[in-house]
Amino acid sequence: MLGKLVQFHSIEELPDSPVTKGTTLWNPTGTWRSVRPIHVSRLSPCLLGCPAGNPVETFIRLIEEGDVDGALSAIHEENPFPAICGRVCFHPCEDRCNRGSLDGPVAIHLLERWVADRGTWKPVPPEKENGKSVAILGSGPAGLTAAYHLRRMGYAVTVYEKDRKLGGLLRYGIPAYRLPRKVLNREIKNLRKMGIVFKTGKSLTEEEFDARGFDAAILCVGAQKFRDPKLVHQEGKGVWQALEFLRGVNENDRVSLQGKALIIGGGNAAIDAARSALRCGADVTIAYRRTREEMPAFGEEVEAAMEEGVNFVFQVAPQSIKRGSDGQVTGVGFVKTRPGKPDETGRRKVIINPHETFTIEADQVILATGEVPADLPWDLEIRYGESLCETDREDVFVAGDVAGRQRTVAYAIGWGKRAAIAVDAYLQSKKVNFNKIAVPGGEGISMRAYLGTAQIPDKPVVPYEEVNTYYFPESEAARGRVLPKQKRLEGFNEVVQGLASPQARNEAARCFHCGDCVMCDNCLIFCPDVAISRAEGKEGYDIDLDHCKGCGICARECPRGAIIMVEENI
Amino acid sequence: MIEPNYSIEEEREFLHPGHLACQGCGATIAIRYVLKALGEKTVVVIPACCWSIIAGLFPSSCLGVPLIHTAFETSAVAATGARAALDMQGKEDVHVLAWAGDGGTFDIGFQALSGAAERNENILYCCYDNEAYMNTGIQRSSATPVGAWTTTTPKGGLEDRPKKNIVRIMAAHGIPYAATANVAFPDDLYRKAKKAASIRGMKFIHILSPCPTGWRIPSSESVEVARLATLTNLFPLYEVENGTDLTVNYIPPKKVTVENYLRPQGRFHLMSEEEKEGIQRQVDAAWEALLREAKKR
Amino acid sequence: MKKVLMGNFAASHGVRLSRAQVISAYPITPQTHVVEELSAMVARGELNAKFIKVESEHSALACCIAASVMGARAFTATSSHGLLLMHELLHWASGGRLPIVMVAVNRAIAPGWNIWNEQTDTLSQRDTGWIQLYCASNQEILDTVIQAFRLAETVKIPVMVIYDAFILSHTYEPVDIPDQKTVDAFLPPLKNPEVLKVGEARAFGSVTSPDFHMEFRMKLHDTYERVPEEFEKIEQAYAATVGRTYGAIEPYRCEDAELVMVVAGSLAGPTKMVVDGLRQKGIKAGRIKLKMFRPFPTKPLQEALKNAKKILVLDRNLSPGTGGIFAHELRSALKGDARPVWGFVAGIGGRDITPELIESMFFDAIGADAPVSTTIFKGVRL
Ligand SMILES: Cc1cc2nc3c(=O)[nH]c(=O)nc-3n(C[C@H](O)[C@H](O)[C@H](O)COP(=O)(O)OP(=O)(O)OC[C@H]3O[C@@H](n4cnc5c(N)ncnc54)[C@H](O)[C@@H]3O)c2cc1C
Ligand SMILES: Cc1ncc(C[n+]2csc(CCOP(=O)(O)OP(=O)(O)O)c2C)c(N)n1
Ligand code: SF4
Ligand code: SF4
Ligand code: SF4
Ligand SMILES: [Mg+2]
Repeated sequence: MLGKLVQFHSIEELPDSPVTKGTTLWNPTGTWRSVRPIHVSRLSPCLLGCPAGNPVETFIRLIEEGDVDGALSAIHEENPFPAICGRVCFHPCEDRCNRGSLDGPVAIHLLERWVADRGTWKPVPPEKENGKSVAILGSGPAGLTAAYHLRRMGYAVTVYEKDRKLGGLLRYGIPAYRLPRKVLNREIKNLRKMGIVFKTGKSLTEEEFDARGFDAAILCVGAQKFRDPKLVHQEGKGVWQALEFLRGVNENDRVSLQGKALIIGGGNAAIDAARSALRCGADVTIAYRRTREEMPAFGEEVEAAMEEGVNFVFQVAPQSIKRGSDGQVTGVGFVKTRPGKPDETGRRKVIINPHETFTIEADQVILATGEVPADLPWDLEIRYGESLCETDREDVFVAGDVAGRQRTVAYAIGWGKRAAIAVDAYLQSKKVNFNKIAVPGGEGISMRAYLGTAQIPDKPVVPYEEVNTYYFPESEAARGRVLPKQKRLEGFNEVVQGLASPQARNEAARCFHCGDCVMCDNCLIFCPDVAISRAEGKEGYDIDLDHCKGCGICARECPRGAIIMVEENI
Repeated sequence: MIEPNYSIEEEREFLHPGHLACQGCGATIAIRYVLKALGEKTVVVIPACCWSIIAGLFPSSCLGVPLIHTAFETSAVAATGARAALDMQGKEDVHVLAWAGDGGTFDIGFQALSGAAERNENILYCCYDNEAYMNTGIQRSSATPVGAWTTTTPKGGLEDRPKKNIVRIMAAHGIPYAATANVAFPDDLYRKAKKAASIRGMKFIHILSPCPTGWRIPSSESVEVARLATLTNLFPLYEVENGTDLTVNYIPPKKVTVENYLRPQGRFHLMSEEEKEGIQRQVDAAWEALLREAKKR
Repeated sequence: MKKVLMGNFAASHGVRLSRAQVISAYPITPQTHVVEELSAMVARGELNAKFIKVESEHSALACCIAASVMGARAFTATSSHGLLLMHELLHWASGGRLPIVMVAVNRAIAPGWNIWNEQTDTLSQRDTGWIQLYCASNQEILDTVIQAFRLAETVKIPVMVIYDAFILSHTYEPVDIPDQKTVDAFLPPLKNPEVLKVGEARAFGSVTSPDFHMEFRMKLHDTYERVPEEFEKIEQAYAATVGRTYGAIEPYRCEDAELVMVVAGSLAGPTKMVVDGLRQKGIKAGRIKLKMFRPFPTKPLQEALKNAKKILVLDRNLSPGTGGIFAHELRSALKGDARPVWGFVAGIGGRDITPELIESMFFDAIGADAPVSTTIFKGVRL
């Protein structure tokens, strides 16, 4: 604010010598400025990285502020399964995390897990039923997430699951040593408490859907169809499909496996099958067509498998199952491969050398050669529209693995949310601008933005170069403790332990809070013109533009890029 | 709210906006934290220097405390005079702060400064060091570092004499407190000014104050460049009590080469690689020596 | 109380009786005793003051300036080179309107090092804005120091009390030392003396643009017009309390004098003697002792010189190329006046000015209608 310049109207009023009478506040040094600082909310890279649309930076900030429950509800606004994600998600958020360029990304997934395990969140039925009903087919993460969000918005939701139990691949694919059933059940129970109706061991036909007066349906039937490698002598005892094997393990907790198990494939299913087979007593080898580096399986998983004693054979392609005269499997015949030229996706082709053949002995073979989307149970086609969930029928939507190419839990959750929004928009005849509610340049979508309870920052993502790393002394990222190898192989106990509370708090403190002013006062401290003050009665700062000279120190010293300098129109 | 990075409990400001410093001037940040530490019962003395302009033209002053402008070479003794008058009035609790540039401290005002130090006057003398006579247009002073361009050390005749080690010189007077500080470390500066305020006798704080104009850096880089001076060990933060007891106040977490400090500054652009290497060697040796001396305590 | 004191000690007693609060000085012959005695007085507890033994005259005055800004009665003493070193700060003090009092002992300036009497040091400070009062006796020194404080504080202009090296500074004379009570009545403590107050955010001496600088100097100049009048009042008050006066000028036998010599400082004594001798010889001689040089007492001088036919000025100083400074000033004060002015320069660098030499100046003037040149050196040896 400008002050007043003291005026003298006669020589008598003038003091005897130059002794001042007022401050310099009258002097509008703001006119020197060519750029002006603005405190802004900017996108943080982690937000861009999370397909489920978790408000990562926000929940970490709440942890830092000591509000664990607040952190948990912030996640719940977007994602009903933080305890699950915190365990099984491959955390692409961390790949984007700016701290990765300094000393290792913030262990976001461990924090998410910690919040979910320590915080309390009460599932509540919606305040008002809106009178409309939605049927959901499939209770994998996609279906459950869609159900959750729709229920929150007041819809009557019925989930049809053809399996005996809820959870889809969360239950029948992912082994318990990575996702304990207790955790899975806890988060599913929340949904039941919200009044979602579950019909297990049942599906719903299109006719039934029409007949029962549902207003909309979402098909979340997953991608569990076996991709058949069609090996010679594949049919018969001793050869499993990976999902089939895992389902067995997951249902009975333990399948007895004697002798040598050979797993064919390099994806996560292969690793899960291998580590499960180990726990069932087998001597396990994985055979993969390409190199270690090219394995689609998550690196940490591969390492864990090696640690636990799984053998790996790379650059071999299976040709035939060898069986004894009694039909028992004795091994698998392979040819060697070498990498060829990269294809249009950048992935190197596999070139087979038909002359170099050999056999690996085995008593069991598990084919983890991948899955493809299930055929839609109804006579419909997917028609990707704006929401990426549309089908031929305007009242039927799809979500999750069945619709997506990126097949992970977080994607399924994000997709379920998309479908819920698409259904709501359709049933409430709302026009949705998906560009406004999707994280720009990112993967996720924001329910809060759709509901208008929060905004996605509209300012560009904070690149690492704009983080003032001086303020962040180097520190190692937290890691969960792991069970000793011996303990692990005894059964299906969870291998990776969660963070202890002090650890979690330290880890949260490693977050730069990219693009989010946390009121650290740095801008205020360093302003040479004392032009920044704490805003009265609210969060944030006021900038005295009458005096700010636009030096830009505040923006430079902001540790997290939450101040930008914009050109003045002069 | 997350804890702030700097712990400076004084919320009052004794520096008003509207002052006449260039954009990004470090000398203003410097006085801001010193005055916060000293509080309103303070009288400031300023000789000719940028700050005599910054403070504002008659009839305005940007300081929230009384200010005596004085001749270029007299800040220490003018502070002495103000101190004497206050003591005669029984106002012994009032702090007297002499606030001078490097020219006014290392060069023309050195005699008066040395005199005041030798007499152990009860004043706090702060030199905000921007490493040249900036007010008169960037002429070299005896605080100008080797390799720096100034208008009197032009291309072909860059500064070739090392900076005077003013804190050691002051400490050698046996005064109770002599310290270095840097505007990029405001809490350290604040703490030192507070500590100085609690000590009777002569206190001297040498504050590195970036000058975007004279250092040829963008105004926004001012604090960052100053910080690099300390991170590279070129301007270590330390204090010397009673002439001999030396404490190093900040040890950089990892080695940063002086190149990182020199490169962003236009005033060093004419320096050769060998000269830079020479500076690195000097800095390394001086740092080692400083640590050894601190250990002796 | 009467005491036999050298001029320097008389000055110290004046300062003590004036209750100076901050004293800052640096030794230089022939001023040293002033500060030695003051430091002893402070040490003995006779004077409650801060005595700051700075490392130069420049610092001494800088110290007094800041002390004065903060409201202390401040004093310094110097001479010759020390005064010249203070030059920059002399302007600060007057421009700052600070009532500082200084004793300046007139001494010659190097090169060649010369510690003897000459007035060029103070006279070359004539445009610094300080009031200059020249003394002719040790008693006058003491009295003038006390008066100087009151004058300075009344008009807010610093005052230089000036006297001759050795001739006064080191010469013992009986001096009446008034008692403290009497002086206190004459010179009460300052009311609201501070230019700056603790807790008040004001700045002294800020950059002043062309918008104001001129007015400040004009104000100073205008105040100077009031100084003779204020000095007069102060002298009357001093006479009333202590019982002595000197006057801005002291004319001697000028009423009917045809030849009048103008002098300043201790030369007032010998010139007086010479005038008496000339009178005995029937020559109508007179003499004016100039006490106040800044402001220049033009009116009283015009008045005292009313009847003179020939005017003589004896300068123990030299502005090279111009001549004696008093003569130069007097000529400009008498501008438009057709009477001849003899400008004699003598006693430079402490050379003796004997009564005979002074007499010879009168005879020079008697024997001619006009001076042979603007500046006439007297007592030249080679
Ligand atoms: C072995 C394995 C491990 C994996 N590990 C991870 C991991 O660690 N992290 C990760 O992010 N992702 C992992 N994935 C991928 C992840 O599990 C899937 O992307 C995710 O579960 C997809 O969710 P969804 O809801 O789309 O489908 P699904 O989880 O496959 O659920 C589909 C559900 O629909 C039901 N259904 C099918 N047809 C009908 C019908 N007609 N009527 C009613 N119900 C029907 C199915 O029974 C099933 O319950 C793994 C996958 C596998 C195979
Ligand atoms: C006696 C004297 N000489 C020279 C000057 C001119 N002058 C004013 S400020 C200044 C330079 C001041 O340099 P420094 O003390 O380093 O302060 P800075 O301007 O760099 O802040 C000079 C040379 C002066 N005011 N007084
Ligand atoms: S540092 Fe924090 S805000 Fe920045 S990307 Fe990483 S988790 Fe997100
Ligand atoms: S630090 Fe202060 S002056 Fe500089 S741009 Fe920011 S608000 Fe403006
Ligand atoms: S020249 Fe430098 S020190 Fe002076 S005001 Fe400008 S930035 Fe500050
Ligand atoms: Mg400087």
